[in-house]
Amino acid sequence: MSVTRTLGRWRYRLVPDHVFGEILNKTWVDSAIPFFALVLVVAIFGSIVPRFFDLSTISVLSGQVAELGLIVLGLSIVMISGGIDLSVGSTFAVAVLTALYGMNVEGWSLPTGLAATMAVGALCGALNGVMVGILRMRAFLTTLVTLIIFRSLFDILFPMVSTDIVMTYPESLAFEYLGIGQVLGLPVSFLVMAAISLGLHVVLSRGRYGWHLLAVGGARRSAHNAGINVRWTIFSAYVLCSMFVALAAFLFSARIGSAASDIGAGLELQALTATVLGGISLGGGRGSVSKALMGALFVLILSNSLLALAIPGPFNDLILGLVLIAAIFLDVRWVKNRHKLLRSVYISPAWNTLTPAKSTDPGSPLAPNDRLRDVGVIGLGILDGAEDVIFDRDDNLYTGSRHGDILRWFPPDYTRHEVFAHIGGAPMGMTFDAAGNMAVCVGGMGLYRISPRGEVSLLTAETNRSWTSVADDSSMRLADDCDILPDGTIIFSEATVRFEMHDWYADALESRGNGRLIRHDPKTGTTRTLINNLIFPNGVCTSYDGVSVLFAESWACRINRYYFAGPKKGRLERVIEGLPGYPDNINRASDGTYWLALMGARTPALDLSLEMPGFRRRMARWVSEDAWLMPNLNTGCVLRFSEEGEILESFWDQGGQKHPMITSMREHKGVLYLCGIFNNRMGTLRLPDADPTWCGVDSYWGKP
Amino acid sequence: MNAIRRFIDYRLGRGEGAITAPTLDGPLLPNQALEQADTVAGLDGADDLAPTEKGLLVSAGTTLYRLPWGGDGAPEAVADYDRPISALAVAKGVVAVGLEGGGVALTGRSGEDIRFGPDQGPTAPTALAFLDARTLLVTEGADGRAATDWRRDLMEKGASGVLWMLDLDSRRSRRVLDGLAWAGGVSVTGSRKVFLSESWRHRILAVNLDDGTTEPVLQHLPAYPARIAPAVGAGYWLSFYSIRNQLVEFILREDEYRRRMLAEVPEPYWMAPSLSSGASFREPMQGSQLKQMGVLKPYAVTRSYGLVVQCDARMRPLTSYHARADGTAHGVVAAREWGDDLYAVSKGSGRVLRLTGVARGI
Repeated sequence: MSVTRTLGRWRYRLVPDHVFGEILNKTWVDSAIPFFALVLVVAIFGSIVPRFFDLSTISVLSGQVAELGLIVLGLSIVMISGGIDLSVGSTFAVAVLTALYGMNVEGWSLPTGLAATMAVGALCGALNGVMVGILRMRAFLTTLVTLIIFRSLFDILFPMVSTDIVMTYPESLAFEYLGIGQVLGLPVSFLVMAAISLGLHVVLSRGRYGWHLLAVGGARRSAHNAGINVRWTIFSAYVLCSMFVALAAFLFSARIGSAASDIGAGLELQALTATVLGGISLGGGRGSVSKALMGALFVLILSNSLLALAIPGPFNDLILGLVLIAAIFLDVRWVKNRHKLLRSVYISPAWNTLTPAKSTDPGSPLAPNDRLRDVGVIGLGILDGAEDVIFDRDDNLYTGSRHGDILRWFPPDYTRHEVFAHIGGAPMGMTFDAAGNMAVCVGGMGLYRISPRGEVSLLTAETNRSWTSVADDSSMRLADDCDILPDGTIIFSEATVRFEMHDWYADALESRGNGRLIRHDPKTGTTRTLINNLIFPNGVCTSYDGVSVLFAESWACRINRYYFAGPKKGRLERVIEGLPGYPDNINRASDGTYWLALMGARTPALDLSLEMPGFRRRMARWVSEDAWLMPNLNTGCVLRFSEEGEILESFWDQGGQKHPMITSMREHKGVLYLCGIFNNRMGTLRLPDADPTWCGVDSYWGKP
Repeated sequence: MNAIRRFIDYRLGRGEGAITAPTLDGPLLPNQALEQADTVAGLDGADDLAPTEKGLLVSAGTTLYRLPWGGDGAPEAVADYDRPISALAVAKGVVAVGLEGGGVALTGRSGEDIRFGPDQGPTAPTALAFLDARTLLVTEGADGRAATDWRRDLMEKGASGVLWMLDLDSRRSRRVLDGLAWAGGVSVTGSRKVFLSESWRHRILAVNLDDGTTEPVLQHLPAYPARIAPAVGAGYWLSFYSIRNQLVEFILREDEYRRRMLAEVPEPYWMAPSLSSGASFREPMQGSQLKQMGVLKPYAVTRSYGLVVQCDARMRPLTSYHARADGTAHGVVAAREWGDDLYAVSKGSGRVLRLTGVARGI
């Protein structure tokens, strides 16, 4: 092996390429951009602004964060619901006026003043809400108009009371404490904001109301179709927003104690910049509390630092405006291209060196032949998605269908059938326990049990999450084949944890150990992963002595054995390596050997690419899935091998004329039944030398 | 500068780095006409056609066969050569054959034999056309490379095809044009301008025989053009080696994989266009070729295809005849009309096909 090959192998062994895609798949990745923007602004201004990290600076900052933060949270609620509120600055001014007039001039108590301020805020919000939510007017124009209305209202009222406000002081001590009090060095107002943020976070991420907001913002029509009251949700978002603004105004009044005529002017620019920069999409449906607060912090640090550097106000606004433009640009590009980025990095092929294929030359047991060409047929044109087949002691034939059913076909000629049970997912491998219950792996759903009367119950859909996984791998994506140990424990394989069932060929392209072998104990209901990092594990079959299971790793073209008891307990052994095709199900044969389905054949062109992960990654990115290089699944075979792994004979259908992609086969009373998940028929092959009374269930549980 | 452009092109998938293939649309809209055409004869290795008064000459291997008109008799061998025949043309009683690695041999009515050996002109002709009774045009796919080695030349991005002009009187040969990305076919037009198919660049060129200047007349073909034959109404029949495939276009820009594939994988199992496919389970398979419900979809991507395109006098496509992914009449590398019928050779399946009535003029 050359140096470059060795280096290449180790590069793909050591660098976990697939993790990038899994990280990108996480929802918190959206917060990465605002987070780095925040780090950047702290790094820049921390180094050039004097006393940036002083305690007093931070204390002042936290007071401001409380007020702007509340406004940004309010605006975020509206924007998550798919709207926008430009009137936050004017609402703020009106609310401040209310608070100061009430507290200073009228001498209200804190609860009264708070209630009055909130009521004024709610009223402003309700006006917006009625027009945008109920009357369905354009949010942008409507709130632009209310911005002017509320500001005019403020401009009319303010001169009437401004002298009184300045000349008097509030009587409420609590109000004063709210403005200047500190707990553990933090302003009270900040703690109030923190508590509210926490509550809002829970509501938005876990609560019904938050989900409704996100749904309405994401897709109005779908939300309506899902039964969400869209108008009410939008109305409430505006009311909530203005109430948050009113609360901010109350805190501001407590801190400053007086007002100027330009109060709240330009606040909408600050709030909007903070919200968009935080990554709360202008299109609606995306956003979180942490993002909003990061955005608010960014804007405050920026404007305070510019102030500290004695940069004139208009420049300050100019810079803020430029930041807003940049944030909007980033938001648009990110939302538009995120899934493209994800698609292009998610598939990350691995280095997969296959053992050279066993000979298929004439004379060898694997020599191609056409013994499967002239076979009997069952269910032609009816079967669709029959991945596996199994028989009970009464000769009934059970197989799955793509529509989520288990079909039962009746002996002796198997021309009549009924739906034995409806599960809903694609049934894959099946097995019977001692009591005659069927255990069946269901793609995308997990492991299910079907009683002899056809009652379906869930056995397991979850296993322990592995410690090192980035993506949550506890739920099951593609349970594939199962078998049962003498003590009733069910062993089953999950082919891949990275792709859904319909994306199985992407897993073939990756050829990484994405699958696992899982053990489920029906007595205790526990499910544990036995072995991780298997390359498309498939075809589980308990050995005749009951101490081990045989299982196939499809894309690795090998058969393994795992011991559950005996001297080799807990050990994994290779039984067959270098198969000329891709192994699928393994089942018992009547003479103490095993049947193995090769769903397709290896091709030199694909084998070559397995050592070139970069080539496969670029192919996945550039080439349409229709044209991807794939295992040749149109020609497969069925073969028989001994306990020691010696291949005894093979049955082919060259060119896949009747049986392309054979996924399973089952021997029953001298006949071999063949099925393929994408085929529209099941084949029957009479085995002249086989035991004509042999039934698989007896082989597991003895004759009744 | 070129390196920078190449780098950018490969990143953005355009220019040299593009992996797009044109779709079959307009006059090239797929049908099953070739697949459903009558089989006149089964001849393994059938390669080129030339109609004569007595019957249709078909070359297959080292033998020249004749299929009598009208009859459905077996093909009769009329001549045998020392090397495989790679091209065929007939004019005024003179039969010209290109021989793989053996130049061009002409047999006249009067028994005169003329031989242009490999040292006197083309080594392995891919197509022949008589400009007049005493002048023969010959295309050579790639300089010194066998005509059957077209897959290797395509995958190696070869560009050494030659257009020759042979003067039968003076026994002199002249290189009219070289550096072609596989010269797959040539046809005369009645003037000093001829049409030439430059297969790997998916286009038909108009070549001026006097000064060797060229001008593309039909570009961006979705398949690799092979031989050109005159058609009713002063038009042309284009035949094709195979169809373009997105994965092949991609592999053509993946130099390491391509190099290793050519070196390590046996030729029948290359991921490359071919004359036929599905013969062995070791041949590569592409996503859409997986049989669903026992059926291979006709619209699946494929490495082999049957296509004949009828063009007008200015080489604009008029109509087309197809054998699609689910068919077998693939690798249609020669098409000739006789009377109202079109005869075509499906080299991939070793059959001579007849499309009845498609060459009916006004």
